[in-house]
Amino acid sequence: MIYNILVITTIVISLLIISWISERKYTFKSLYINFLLFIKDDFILLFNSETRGVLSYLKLMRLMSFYSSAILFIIMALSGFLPFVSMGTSLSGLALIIHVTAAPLFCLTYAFYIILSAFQYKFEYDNYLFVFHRNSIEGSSEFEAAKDNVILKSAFWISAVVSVPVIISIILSMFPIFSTSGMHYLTDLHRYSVLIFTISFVINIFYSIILRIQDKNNT
Amino acid sequence: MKRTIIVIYSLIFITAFFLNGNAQNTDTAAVIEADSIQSAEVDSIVADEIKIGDIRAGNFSRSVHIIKLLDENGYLIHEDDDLMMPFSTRNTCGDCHSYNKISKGNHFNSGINEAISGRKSEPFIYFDPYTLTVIPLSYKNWQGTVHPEKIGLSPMKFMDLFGSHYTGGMISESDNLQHPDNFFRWEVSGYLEINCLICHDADPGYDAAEYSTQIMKQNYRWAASAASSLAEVKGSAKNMPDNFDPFNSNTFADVDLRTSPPPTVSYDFSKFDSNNKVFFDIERTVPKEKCYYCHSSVISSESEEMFLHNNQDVHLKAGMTCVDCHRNDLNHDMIKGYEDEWIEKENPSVAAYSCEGCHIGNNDSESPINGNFGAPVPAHKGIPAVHFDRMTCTVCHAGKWPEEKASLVKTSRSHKLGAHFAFKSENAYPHIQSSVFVNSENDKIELSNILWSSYWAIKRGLVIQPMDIEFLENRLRPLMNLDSLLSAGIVPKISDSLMTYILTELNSSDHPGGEVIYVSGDKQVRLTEENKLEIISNTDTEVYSWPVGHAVRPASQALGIRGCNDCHSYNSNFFFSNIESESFIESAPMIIYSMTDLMRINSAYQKVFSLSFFFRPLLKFIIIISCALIFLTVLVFLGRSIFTISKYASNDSTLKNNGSKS
Repeated sequence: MIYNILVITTIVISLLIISWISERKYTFKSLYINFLLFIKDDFILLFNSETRGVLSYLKLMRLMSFYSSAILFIIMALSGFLPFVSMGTSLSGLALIIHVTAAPLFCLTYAFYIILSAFQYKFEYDNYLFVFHRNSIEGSSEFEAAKDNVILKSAFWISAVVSVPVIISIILSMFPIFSTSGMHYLTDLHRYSVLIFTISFVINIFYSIILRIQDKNNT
Repeated sequence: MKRTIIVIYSLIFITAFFLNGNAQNTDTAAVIEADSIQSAEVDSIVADEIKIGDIRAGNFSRSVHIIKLLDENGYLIHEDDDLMMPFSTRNTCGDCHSYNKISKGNHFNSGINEAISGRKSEPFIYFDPYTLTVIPLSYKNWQGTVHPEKIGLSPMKFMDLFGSHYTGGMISESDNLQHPDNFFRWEVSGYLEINCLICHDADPGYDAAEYSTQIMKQNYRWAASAASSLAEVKGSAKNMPDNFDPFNSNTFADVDLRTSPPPTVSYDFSKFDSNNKVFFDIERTVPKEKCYYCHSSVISSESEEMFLHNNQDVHLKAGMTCVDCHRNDLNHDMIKGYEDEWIEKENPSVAAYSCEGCHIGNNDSESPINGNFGAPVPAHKGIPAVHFDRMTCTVCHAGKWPEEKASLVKTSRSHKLGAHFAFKSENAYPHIQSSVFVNSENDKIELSNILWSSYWAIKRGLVIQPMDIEFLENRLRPLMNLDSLLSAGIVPKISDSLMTYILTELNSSDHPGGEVIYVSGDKQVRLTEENKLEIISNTDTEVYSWPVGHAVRPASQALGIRGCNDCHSYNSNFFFSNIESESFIESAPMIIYSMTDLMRINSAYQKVFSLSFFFRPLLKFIIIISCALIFLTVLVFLGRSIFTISKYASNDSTLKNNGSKS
């Protein structure tokens, strides 16, 4: 019951974040269309021989892993949360099969995404200034960009940190290590950590898209 | 004046007389009412009176029973009696124990409507090889069983069919449950009282098979005595005329004593002491062999080599007895041991005797309830918790390891095992399929036995009512003209032509209104208006299932001990074992069901899900590598970020300090 409430709260918070981000400049529809356009463009670029430099290749790989992670995340969130929200039952049946099948693919793509994006998302002096010396840049044109940058990086690293217990709790339960009570703890760890992961990754996804749109508009 | 005074006095006198009369009437009514209340109270006290043998002082040593034998009229049995009568358990045992209270126990309470039915269990199976009828019967309110009265089975007939493995009590001795037609037969046979000795007599000379034989001879009054080592019974009440009176030797004159001797009992008076008392080797803790007489179950194909193949329940092999878990107090309301029993009985202490209660315990109880007899707490390492939500313990831990096809079992009550007339053939009817996993009433998968029903029925709208067996015996048996050898286990089939003929005949007979159909397995057969056979598949298959808890295998032989593939392999017998529907209709093809059908889960889903176990090692590898990479990346880059930020912060503080100094 408590978990059901928490799941619903997580979904509501995620939707509020999306609407809050979107309301600033973009409709949800435009975000969605741009996301698909980015996938299409990047996919074409990936197979374009002219762009096959090592760096551009890695960049495209990073983007691909991000798109894959985002799509697989949506699949996993729907298959994981919907049975709870709609029927109040634990994961079983078709939802379980979808969840279990998508999980290793998600882990793989998400790991690639983290590895290939880690350097880009490391905290730097600008972020330090925004956090500890906000007054010095407040009101300037760079303030909003700095804020977006800090939120995006924080969301990225929170989701990365939380993904470890999310994954470990499940992988440990696949081995005959823990007894019934231990299995219950692992399940609970997975269930609760995944809520934090969901919120942080949703922010990560949407800020990434928005920043990409901004970049595109600027160029 | 005088006249006035006389009239006044007369009026006063008459008024006083009436008033006094009314007062007396009221007093009398009050007295009668008080008496009747008192009488009712006394009756109820007598009915459930706790007697001297029911009050235990607390000594755990064995009570030695050296007692006098009393017959059904309460008379002492003595060597000098002219006419020996069998002893009565109601009077002999009931002298010190509350027979009435015990008679409400769940072995004896068939016929009491108010009795708690509890979880469904093995029914009495009516099988008639001459009409190809198989019906699960029960006086309890178990879904899927038929009440004997509904097919015209009187208690007397019920005893004829099933009495060999019936403990006695209620339907076999309560006057108000009997049919008037059987009044004289009951007088001849006597009532079958609760046979306390069948469970509690530890004398090695006690012969339960003899008890069954006596029941078949309708010697109900004599059965308990015959089975004991104290007496010998000859003759058969079944062969006696309705006017036979065992208390009056003059009626023996009507009987041909050479061909059908009347039932008589003779006692071994060497076992009587000088006080005319006998020693009963009474065991309060009933030995398991006693329970086995009515509760044995053997895989049919292994019955001849059962001691080679059949491992008994691990609890019993460890030295426990049945009644260590299936306990009872004076009311003999045995604990069955299923999960929710304590809720039904509104008694939390009952929870300690279920598998879960004894091995795991209950965190809600005030004191620990688990660990009786050193019951180990299972770790169930690596088994996802969903297994415990969806399955009972017996699924993995009891019964036969799942095979390609469900095994047939023979049970004591259905195949008369243990009796001299046991159905020994491997294929003997009724066919009970065992180690089947069925989704139960509380939506948990449980280990079960199943039985496909077959019966002639009247269909009115959607209601299908099995036909009266007496009607079928009289009308159908001559029509079918089947060989009695069919009961030996050769699967008989009814040809289409014979079926058409029978249904035509039965529909034109004087049966109660409605259409006559034949239900067999998962098929229904009816006659169309053109007099052609129509075979309809039952959407709600006519299969009765009941959970079984034994024999429990050791943990090292439990399902899952070798890993998930024990059940979750692509063709695992756990999910995809074959269950054959059993039908006596020749033209109806036998349908082979999968175990998943009875579990009420999707077969295709399980196939797909099992594939995930095929790739699981690869999936585990991918997930572990991914997790390790994420962890290292986080460690390196987030650590580096934190280091960078802290460097900026320390630079800031250095600058601030330098600024403040300058």
